[in-house]
Amino acid sequence: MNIGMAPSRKQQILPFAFESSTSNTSGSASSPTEKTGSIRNFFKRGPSKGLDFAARCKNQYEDARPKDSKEFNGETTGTVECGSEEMKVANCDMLAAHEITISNSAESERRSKKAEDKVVICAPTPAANIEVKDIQSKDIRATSTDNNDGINKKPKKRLRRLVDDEDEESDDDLRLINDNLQYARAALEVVAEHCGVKHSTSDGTTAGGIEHAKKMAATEGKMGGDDHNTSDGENEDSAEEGKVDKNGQNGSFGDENVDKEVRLNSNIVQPTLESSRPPVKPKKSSANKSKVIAGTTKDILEEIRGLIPGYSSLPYRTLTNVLAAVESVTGRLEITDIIRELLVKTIECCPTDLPVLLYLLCGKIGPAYEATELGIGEKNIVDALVKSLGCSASSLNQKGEGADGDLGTAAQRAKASQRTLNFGANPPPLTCQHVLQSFRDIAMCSGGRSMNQKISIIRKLLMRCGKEGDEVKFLVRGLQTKLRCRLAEPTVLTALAQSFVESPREEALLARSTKSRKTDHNKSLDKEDIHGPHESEPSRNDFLVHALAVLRQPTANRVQKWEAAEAIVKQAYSECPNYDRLIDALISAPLTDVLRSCRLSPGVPVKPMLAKPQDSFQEVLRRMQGLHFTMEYKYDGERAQVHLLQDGSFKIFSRNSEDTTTKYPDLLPILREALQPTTTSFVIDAEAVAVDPVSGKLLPFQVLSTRKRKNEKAEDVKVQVVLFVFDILYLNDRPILHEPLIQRRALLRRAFNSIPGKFDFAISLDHHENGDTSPIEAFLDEAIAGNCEGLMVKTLEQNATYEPTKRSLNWLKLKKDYLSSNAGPGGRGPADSLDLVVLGANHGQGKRAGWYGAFLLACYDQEAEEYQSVCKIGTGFSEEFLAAAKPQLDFLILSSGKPDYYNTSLECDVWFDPKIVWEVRAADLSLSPAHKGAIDKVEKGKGIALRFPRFIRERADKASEDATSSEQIADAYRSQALVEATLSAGRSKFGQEEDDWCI
Amino acid sequence: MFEARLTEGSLLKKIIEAIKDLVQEANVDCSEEGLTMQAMDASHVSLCSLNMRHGGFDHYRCDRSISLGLNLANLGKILKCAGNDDVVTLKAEDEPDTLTLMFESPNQERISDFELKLMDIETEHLGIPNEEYKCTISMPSGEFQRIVRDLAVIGETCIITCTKEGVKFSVSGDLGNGNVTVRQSSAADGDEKDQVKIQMEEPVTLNFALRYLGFFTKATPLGSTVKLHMSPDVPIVVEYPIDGIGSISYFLAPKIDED
Repeated sequence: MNIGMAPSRKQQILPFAFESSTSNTSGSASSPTEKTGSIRNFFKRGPSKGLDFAARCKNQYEDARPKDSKEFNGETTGTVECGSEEMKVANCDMLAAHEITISNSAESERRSKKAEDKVVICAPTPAANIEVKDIQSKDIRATSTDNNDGINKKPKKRLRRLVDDEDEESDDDLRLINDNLQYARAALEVVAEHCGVKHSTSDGTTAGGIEHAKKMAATEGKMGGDDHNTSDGENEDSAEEGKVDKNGQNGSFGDENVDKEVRLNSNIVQPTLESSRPPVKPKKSSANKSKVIAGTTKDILEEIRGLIPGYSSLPYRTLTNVLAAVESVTGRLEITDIIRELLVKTIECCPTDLPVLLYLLCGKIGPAYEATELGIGEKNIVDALVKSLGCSASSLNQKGEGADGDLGTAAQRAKASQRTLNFGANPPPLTCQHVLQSFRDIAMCSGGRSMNQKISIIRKLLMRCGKEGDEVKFLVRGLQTKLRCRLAEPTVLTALAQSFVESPREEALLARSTKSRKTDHNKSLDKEDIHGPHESEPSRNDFLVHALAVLRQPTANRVQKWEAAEAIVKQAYSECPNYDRLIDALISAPLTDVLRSCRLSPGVPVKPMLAKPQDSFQEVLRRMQGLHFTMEYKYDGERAQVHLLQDGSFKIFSRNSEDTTTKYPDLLPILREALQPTTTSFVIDAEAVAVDPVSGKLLPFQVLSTRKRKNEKAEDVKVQVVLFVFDILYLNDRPILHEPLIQRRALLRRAFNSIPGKFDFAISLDHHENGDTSPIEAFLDEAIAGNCEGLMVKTLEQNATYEPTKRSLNWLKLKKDYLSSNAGPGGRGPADSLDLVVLGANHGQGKRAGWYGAFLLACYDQEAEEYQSVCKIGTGFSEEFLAAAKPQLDFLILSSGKPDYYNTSLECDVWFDPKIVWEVRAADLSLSPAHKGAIDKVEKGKGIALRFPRFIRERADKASEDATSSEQIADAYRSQALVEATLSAGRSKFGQEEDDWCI
Repeated sequence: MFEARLTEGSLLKKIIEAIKDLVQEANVDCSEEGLTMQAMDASHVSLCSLNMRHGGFDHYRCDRSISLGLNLANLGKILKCAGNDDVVTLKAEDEPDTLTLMFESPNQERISDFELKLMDIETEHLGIPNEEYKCTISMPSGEFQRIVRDLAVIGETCIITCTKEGVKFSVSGDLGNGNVTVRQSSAADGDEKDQVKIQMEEPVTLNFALRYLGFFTKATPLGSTVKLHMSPDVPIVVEYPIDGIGSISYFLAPKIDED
């Protein structure tokens, strides 16, 4: 089969031609060619056109359907076989070669002959309408163009399907399939185009291919759970569906199928492209698909191999196309599906690129604790764009408005409108590695001319971006460190966990590891897997033990395995928030062993464990029912995670995992003094609190915040601090965060000496829940008298492990002003103060002329990756504060106006980069049409707003993503509503009217 | 050994001024025939091509072909040290690390020499084709500079339309739009340098970013005439002939019509 070289590629090699040239299609403008062309255009135009395309597919299908359904004669149970033709379409698209499609139809014919009485009706593929005319028989098989109907369905649905006996969904599915085509395409095109190539070079031999095909099918079988058995000649009916084991143990017969196929077709190659298929298919035959694809991919792979030299790194374009696909879907599960497929492919093709890919997916350039920031503002990005794209800043901003305030989209348009010279000096396409490296270079630039250097790095990147596609868009967004495609880190981690479950190498790793361990020793494995070899105490993290058990169990179905893997990967990442190390562990060991190598270690900060606010003593007792718990003073200071590294150096990290060692030079000698000689390394959780050196009284946070943030000299320190230690996570080369608190605390007290006024253990009182609130009340009063905010209440034995990152119910915080009697009128105020992001401001008038007068504040919705406004605020500010805030905020003004990820219906005079977090208290929460906080979470179409907000202080230690989440706002609203209901019930007893305190 | 001497040293100053905003670093190739330089800007949207024939120098010697990797901004700084009437001599070894520039005042009272460190610049082999263009417009360089400057006030993209009657430069922007049409001069009109001449096989319309055209007009002091070469769908060539020694040409990729 001779496939013409893709004109578009060829053209790039020509010495003097622009990317655009029109006369590039070889051959005549016959209809298949036109169609192929139009599909190619579809890809070039990106996902926005996807809907049109899907609609067109659907129409074509509808057109064709009446005829077909007549032929069906009501046999709606005819099996839908999917995947194959779709792959062809994708292939054709890549190579722009309609010949392939034609040969495919030949292939189909051959197949139908082989099947003798069988008729294959091919639903019209968009690339070329394949029509097989020899319709003569009773058995009908429809070959649809689907390859991804799983992508749009939620796993719940999938699960249901697994047990569902009935199968009347062919028609509906076909329609659904067509609707969903677009998602698959973007991702598929990409992955197939690049990774497929690389992969093929690794095992292109026939034997290798067969092996691979088997393996793939085996995984498929397990994945799909209810694959049809569709080997040739077999008459299929809906009963097949019923045979399927819901535990997915039919992997073996999938295997056999492939075996058969392999023998039938000596030309077989590994179904590389098939495996790049993004979605998961809950049903349909993998074996059949393998055959068709295997038959056609070989030549294509050969061709591509000739066209593109093997990639040593994942092309950036692959990533951006996947991101574009992610942007075009809305459901978390669909997004996870897409990302998982990308990761699976990457694991296979270029595992070394995985960490790079993860950083880029999360919009990061390195681990959070390395505090690497790009250090470029939007103005600088605009500057680079103007210099590169020959457009003016104002036009970028205007276009930005048209593009919902997104600079990335505006830049992409500008890039698309300016051709580049192509005098035989084609820059190589960007790779993910190169992009991340460039970002890191940008972050490293320092000194007087650093901004020029940064801009020139950006220009080089922009130059190498494709005119089409979304590279520029996501590059610009990457520079803004906001990818804006609703892709949050937890989703990436979920997809990562799933991708390793899917990865074929996982099985091999698991087998090897189990074998070696069985021979090694027969100790309790789970314990070690979680704690590492030194551990002596049994684990209390039941969910991890369970997860490990599930992963070891060969019969577990994939959904169970996914969940188990997710628990493990998230745990590993929370203990070791470094993708390089996490991936290293995942690649070299099976999932069951990951927690052995991804462990807490000094020098790598973990996100601190957080507490849930409580607003009554009863509530605390209810939570602690019958448990042994401790109450600690809640100091009004700054969280500090102190590490002692093996080399004897100290590191102090903030709540945000930022290295704040240079902020507390005066603490280092104190720490050294407090250490017991036996303590060689540790990680402790503590609170640094300002203290009056004369009276020894603790001072409020506001005093502490007047300390210099960086590079303070010990002798210049004006504000003395005392460190109150309350937890220990790591001691003498051993992570102990899985120990219960009571033991951790004992170890902590053994490892340090207290030095009054400098280094102390948090004052605490242990208690057994007995229904009496008076000890808690008394202790809270003591804490308040000691200038503390309130109490922390923690379980001592049950569920008492340290869980980084989590806001757990095992830790409760009880502040004096949370208590109902102290909160807003009627005790309806939100329990805790809120930390909100400053989105915009209005210019002040009168007394505040020259400053900002009112500010728009928002909570952060991680799922939607947007800021949702909750209030306008103008009270609680001192004049000094407003004067000082003005220049700080001016620096953050967004010239392009309101970004699309600000969800609010209010207008502001100026909009800011979301960098500043303020702590705010409010009288209560109410539903609002104007504000969008936790929109749709409580009531459809309505957000939650704060009433009578009052500024407390700036939270410089919080990043905007750490602001109060929309989920927390919704929680606060719900609990308030509950209180309200109780109160009004109580009042009506006495015939009282509802207070009209809020107007 | 490479040596090149220009009596009119200010010419070199002007040339570097005309390039350095567009291209920051470039390799200048020295051979028996003379000096050439081809470099794309960082965005690969435009290309600058300099050609100085050996005959145009007062003294020229090049024993073997060498390539001088120059930071043009730095070269510009050194050339600022030369007086406008100075004689400039460039010198380099066969495998040079530095380029020596010698400035002599006309009466030989003041002689200064500077060494500029050379850099290793990745060479891009650029295959610039010799194309026959459908339209060639020759016009006073000052006129072209003025048009570009005026239009840049209004918008960012300039549409150049060449017909038999003349050349039309159009722009549109937020504040409005504008057109400047330059007609072909009749043969009798005044000085040849002030004439607009159009040679045309077929009409051409192309869009260009004014930002880049603005960079090109930095070469205006080098000559009184500018030539624009255009064909459909290929880059425009803006050529400034330099009297007696060669030329400087800019290639600019067109913008794609937004509709």
